[in-house]
Amino acid sequence: MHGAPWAIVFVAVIALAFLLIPLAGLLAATPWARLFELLASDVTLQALRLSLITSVAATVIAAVLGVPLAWMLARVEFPGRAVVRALVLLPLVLPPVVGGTALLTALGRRGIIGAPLESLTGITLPFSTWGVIIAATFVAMPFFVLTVEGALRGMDRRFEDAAVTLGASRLMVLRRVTLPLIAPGLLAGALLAWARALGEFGATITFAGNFPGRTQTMPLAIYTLLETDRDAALALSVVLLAICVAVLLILRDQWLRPGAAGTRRP
Amino acid sequence: MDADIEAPPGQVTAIVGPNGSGKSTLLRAVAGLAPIDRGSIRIGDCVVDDADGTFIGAEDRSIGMVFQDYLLFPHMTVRDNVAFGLRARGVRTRAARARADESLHEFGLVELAARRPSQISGGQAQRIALARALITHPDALLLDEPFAALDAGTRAATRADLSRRLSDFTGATLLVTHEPLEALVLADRVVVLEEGRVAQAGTMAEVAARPASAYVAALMGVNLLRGSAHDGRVTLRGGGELIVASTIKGEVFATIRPSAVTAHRQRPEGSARNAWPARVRTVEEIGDRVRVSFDGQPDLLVDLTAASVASLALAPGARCWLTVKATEIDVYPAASSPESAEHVIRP
Repeated sequence: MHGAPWAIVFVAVIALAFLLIPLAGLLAATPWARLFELLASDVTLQALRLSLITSVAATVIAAVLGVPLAWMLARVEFPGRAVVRALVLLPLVLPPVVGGTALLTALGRRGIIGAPLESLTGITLPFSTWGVIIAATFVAMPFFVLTVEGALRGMDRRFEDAAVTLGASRLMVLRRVTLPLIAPGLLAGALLAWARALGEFGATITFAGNFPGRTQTMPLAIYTLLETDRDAALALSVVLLAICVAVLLILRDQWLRPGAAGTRRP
Repeated sequence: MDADIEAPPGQVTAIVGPNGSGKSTLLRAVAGLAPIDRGSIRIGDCVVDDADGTFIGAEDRSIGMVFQDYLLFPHMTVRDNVAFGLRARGVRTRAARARADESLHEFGLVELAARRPSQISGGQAQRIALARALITHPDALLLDEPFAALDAGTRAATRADLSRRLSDFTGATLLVTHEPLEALVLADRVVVLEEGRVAQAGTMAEVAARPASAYVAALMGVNLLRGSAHDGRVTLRGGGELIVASTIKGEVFATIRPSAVTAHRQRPEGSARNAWPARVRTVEEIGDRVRVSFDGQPDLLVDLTAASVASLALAPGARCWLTVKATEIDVYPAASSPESAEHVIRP
């Protein structure tokens, strides 16, 4: 504190209060005594279950699709790479409701992909659980790709050279050397993506609607319950808050920082 | 990079050269980690890289490589590191591990099999890296500064061990190093690279006896002087003249071993036919000797005993006389040697 002008300290404290007071308000208003009873209702249990399934599914899809994309961005010089990276970033800054609208127009029953998909297979994505997963993947994937790309750039690539001189094919190098060496990065990316998927609201409600048991995830349930059962909404909110704090604590841990195995020492 | 190098099977060829001379580039090109623009590379009977379009990737070359800091995969056990080359060739996990254990046994390292690379010493890591590189019986073994990551004490022990391993290896070994001692102990032949070209090649004894450039002379620890010879004398480029026991004529190199020079307080009388005044520039202890660098015509590095340094009071700035017998000076033609070699070499 020594040497900090009091005016700056004062404004900084206000900023901190601005961030913390709402959370404190939430915790103060939470009916702690009835927390488990509130969380055990049909609506909240359904929302919890659906959120868990869809967020994990979205994380898995983001990881399976995201690793090759991150690898391309980190390892291959191709024309338009900067543009591709910018496009990957777009869902990070795009208003989720715009993302949901975009998904609806592309994958909806009259969309450029949705229409042929329905006529060929009878599958309709909007307003289904798959729609929730797709919306969550759409917003979560950039977190995974960017984190993994950073890990790929940060790792000591000479381990890959060593593997190649031992006769490993490119795929074997990726599977047995590269991915294990960037495991902390993969985990961090997956955690960030999962947290983002768990909290997804705008794209989901736009693309998948708000049907309990089918598309009503925790954030949607909170939004709905605020009208009817305020205490249940608060209980669900506290659960989401706790999960986010846990994710932050895990990401802060030493083993997720650069400097773990496989990264080049300065 | 423009170098024509041949490494015969069963022999160790050392590649030495200053930083930036192309040693690493050469090794990476042979390994297949970097393609070449001109020329060709052959390993055994197989052309692996040719500017006309042939390029066999590192994974399909019959090579083993030991990297400077060994690059053992940190997430695998020692056993799995050694087994990696076999796994890459489609050997089943269990069989590959069994072969890795056999190899570790031969190397006397089997008790480390279950450890991680973070739990072993540098010397052990080097030997495991060698076991890993050799398990597929490659035609060529590439060693990139294999001692650079070790401390001095470990070096001597691992050098002897590596020397034994290399004598059992039937393929060609390329050893990149900047330590003449390593080349001397391990290599049959030495190739000196400078600015991407072969400055000199031959056995260690040949190269040590007749260095063809300033760098090689410094490497071998001899004084290299350039001048023109006529009637048993060499007029040096940097000034001064030497009487030599040779009738050679024309542009020559003359080498003088630092131990062949004596220092005197006064102008000496006697059989040493070359004597000139000089002034001490630096004094440095090397083991049980003292290496003194002199300014004079010519400048010279001289190895003296601590006793004579003390009795002559050779501190920087001190003056004395240097003498060298004509028979101690080796003179040979400077046919196509780099321009840089014209003066005393200061390692």
